Amino acid sequence: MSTKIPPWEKVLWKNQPYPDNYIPQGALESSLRKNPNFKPYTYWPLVHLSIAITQHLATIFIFLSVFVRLKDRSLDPRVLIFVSLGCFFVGYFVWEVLQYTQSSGGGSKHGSKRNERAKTLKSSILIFLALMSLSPVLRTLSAATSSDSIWALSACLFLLNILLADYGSSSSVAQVGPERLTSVLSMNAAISSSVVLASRLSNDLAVFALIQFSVQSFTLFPMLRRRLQAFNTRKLSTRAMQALLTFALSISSLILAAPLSSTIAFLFLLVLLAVTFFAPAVLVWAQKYKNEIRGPWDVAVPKVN
Amino acid sequence: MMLLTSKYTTSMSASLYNPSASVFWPLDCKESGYAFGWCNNNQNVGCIVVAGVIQLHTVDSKLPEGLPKLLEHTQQHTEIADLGELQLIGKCTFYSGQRKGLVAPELEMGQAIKYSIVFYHRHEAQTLRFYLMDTFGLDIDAFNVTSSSTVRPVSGRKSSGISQDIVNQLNVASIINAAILETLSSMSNATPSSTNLGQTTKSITARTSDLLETAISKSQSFISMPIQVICNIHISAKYRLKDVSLSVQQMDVRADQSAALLRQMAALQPRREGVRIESYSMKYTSFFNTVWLILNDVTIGYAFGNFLCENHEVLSGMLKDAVENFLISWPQRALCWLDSWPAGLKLNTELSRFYSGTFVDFVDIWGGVLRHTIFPQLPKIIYIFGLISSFGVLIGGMGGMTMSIALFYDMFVVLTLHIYVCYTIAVLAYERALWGLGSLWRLFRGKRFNVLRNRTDSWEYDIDQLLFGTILFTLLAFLFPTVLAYYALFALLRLATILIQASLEIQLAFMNHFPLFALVLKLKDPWRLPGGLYFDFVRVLVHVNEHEAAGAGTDEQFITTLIPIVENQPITLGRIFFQYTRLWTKLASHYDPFRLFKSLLLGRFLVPIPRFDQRDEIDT
Repeated sequence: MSTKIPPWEKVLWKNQPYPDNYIPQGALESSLRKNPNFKPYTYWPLVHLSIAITQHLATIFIFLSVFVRLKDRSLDPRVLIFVSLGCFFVGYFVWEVLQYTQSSGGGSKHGSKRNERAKTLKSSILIFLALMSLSPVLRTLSAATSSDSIWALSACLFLLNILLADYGSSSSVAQVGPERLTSVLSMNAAISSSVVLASRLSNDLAVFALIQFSVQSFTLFPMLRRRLQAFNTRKLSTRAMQALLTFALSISSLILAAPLSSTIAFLFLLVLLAVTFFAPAVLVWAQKYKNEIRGPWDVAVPKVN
Repeated sequence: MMLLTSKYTTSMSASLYNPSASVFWPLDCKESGYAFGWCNNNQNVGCIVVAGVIQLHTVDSKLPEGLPKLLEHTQQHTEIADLGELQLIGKCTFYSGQRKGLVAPELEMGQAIKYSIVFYHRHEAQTLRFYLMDTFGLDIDAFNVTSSSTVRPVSGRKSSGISQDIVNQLNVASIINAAILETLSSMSNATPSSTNLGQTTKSITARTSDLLETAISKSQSFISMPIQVICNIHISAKYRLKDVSLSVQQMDVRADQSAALLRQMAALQPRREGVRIESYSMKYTSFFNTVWLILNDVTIGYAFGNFLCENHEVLSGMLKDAVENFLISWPQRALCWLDSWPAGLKLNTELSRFYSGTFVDFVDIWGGVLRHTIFPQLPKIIYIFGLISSFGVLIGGMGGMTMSIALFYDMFVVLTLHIYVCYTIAVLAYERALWGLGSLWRLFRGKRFNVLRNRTDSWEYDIDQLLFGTILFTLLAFLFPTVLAYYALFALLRLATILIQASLEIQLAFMNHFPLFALVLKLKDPWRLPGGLYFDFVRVLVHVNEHEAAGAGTDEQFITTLIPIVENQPITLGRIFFQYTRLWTKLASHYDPFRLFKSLLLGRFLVPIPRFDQRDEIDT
């Protein structure tokens, strides 16, 4: 008469009649889990998130068209300076509005706000003066280098900028602190690329205008963009505003590029559409190949609730 | 065929368990009599050094009276007081048979102790030969070697059979023996007269020494001393006059040498009672080393000076042409070449024009200066160099080949002064550019060099810092090739001048420290330059009595055996040239090609080997 063998339990403190390395049938397969924390992407939120990339690309295209026009002398540098100054003030105003609305609940001290404004003022004046004094030197920087190397160098640096840029949003923006530049290398790449391009221009004022414009679009505008992105994305109004902004930027880049060369404008359009609509579709389609297997060998993830 | 007697087997086996005393016996002493010497008791193993034997003239073997007092009196002499107590050891007998060959003595000592004999050479004092446990250095300033360093206390060596004290005793043995025997032979007077140990030491003949001494002392006081004071004047906080110019340093060296000569002459006077052969011999060697060095120098200098004086016109013409060609027009041509896109490299035009304009003008100015001041006088200058080389020795000994090498070195430095200045400018610009580039590159990546931790950390810069830094980085990156090109040209020129200066300095050092006397001495009489000891074996005949012979199975009276003998190992060539090896290591480490290359790349200032560094090393 055989005694009933109790079922095997995965405990060590019991003396069980099973050998030490006993594994019941089907234990391994049942403990494997496939894609446990899988939340599949959906299309439209992805499109919404990729708006940041589109905006960045559009900025770069605008910059390139402006450069070509400056080089052809079809754009007066003074006009550019005034335009960029105007954009600067508009952007600063938007920033202040955002800061006011977002931190209206918290008690931010007046002193820190004044400090920040003073610091901003100091930085901008410093940059302005430095650029003005350095532009004669920068103009003749690469006089001996042939243009092809300059285009190649600039293209590489812009590529670096696109790849390494931070397209996220500053989520924890509750505190009023100095805005962190999360990807320093990409910003530096963009600035050096614009310096290199500016050395191809023919007069000092144009150099100054171009570099000032590039500083604004590659340094200040990303900060604003991130701030805007962190803005409440649930409401339809903000979403619409974002889409409108993107649309405006893209259209302006195309408009600026079209008279110069229609093939280039067409290419710009293609790239923008691909990044905005095509790439998320590919990503969603590729979700079905996602095959992440978790098993008993993984490090246990604690549930903190 | 070698046979060991039972006595020796017992004594040898006894040496393992019951160590026997070693008796150091002089090789040339073959008389029977009373042996006297030193008894050293190195813990348990006794070491007896026999200085000599007092022969027994008369049939009755009666010891002369007053012998212990004589021994004591001799031992009171300060120089050998630390060697131990001179005492009577025992009676020794030589059994000379019809056999030829070396015979070992038999000793009867106070206590019946086992002993084994070790021979040693007992050199006469005139030969200046001696033993030494370790090597010594032939330095110019061997006189700074005090007596304490020759008797090096080798702690922990007391238990072995031979030590520095024993060796000192071996060295002194001959003098003691001669002194005692002489005193004994004139023992008709009751009181022993003062032992004139000093007379046995070799002395330089009195007349020449006096003449030389007065000459050197006069020149020392009138010329060398003020020259030495002048040489050591401080120009700036760190540099003295002799660090700036090689000729001044050479005068300083010569003044030093003559002062040293004077000191050495005083110490080598026969009036002083010197018994310690080793220190006397070493001083003698180094004194004559210096004298030969200076004489050598003066001789070669005379020949070279004559050559210079005869051909001064031709030489000055050649020098003028060479300077014009290599030092003035060639750099100017090279600079113009750099300005016009050298080898297809496109340098920044403005900066390149600025650089080449500045340097070409500078070289021009210097060429003009040379042409107006030095070149007209060049034949006269070379003639004066020749005169100094030949006859400068009359002025306090400042002359000879070394002086002319030093003068040519200084002239070379003056002629290439413009390269030095241009190199300074170029290296400053290059180093700043390199350092700025490195720092800004770190800023480009968003990192910063943490000086506290000596590593690169990430760091959040301000926006304006980033912008400004990036723009400056691009600027520097584009200007860098131009700076590099001009720096490379002048760095190569500077390297060439430094190598030429280095070779001249090496020649000078070679002439200043050549150990000619030591080399010749090594060929002639290596015993005077000891560099250690070693033991050899000689075949001796030992007298055995009958029952021992029966025990060994023979019935002969003498048995051959081997006995160790202390031989001198002459100093190695490496030790003679030890200053050269020291100099060579210093030079090799300073002019190491990898180090030079790395200094060139990093933009460090190239210097020839710092003079005070080199000189202080040689002094010690």
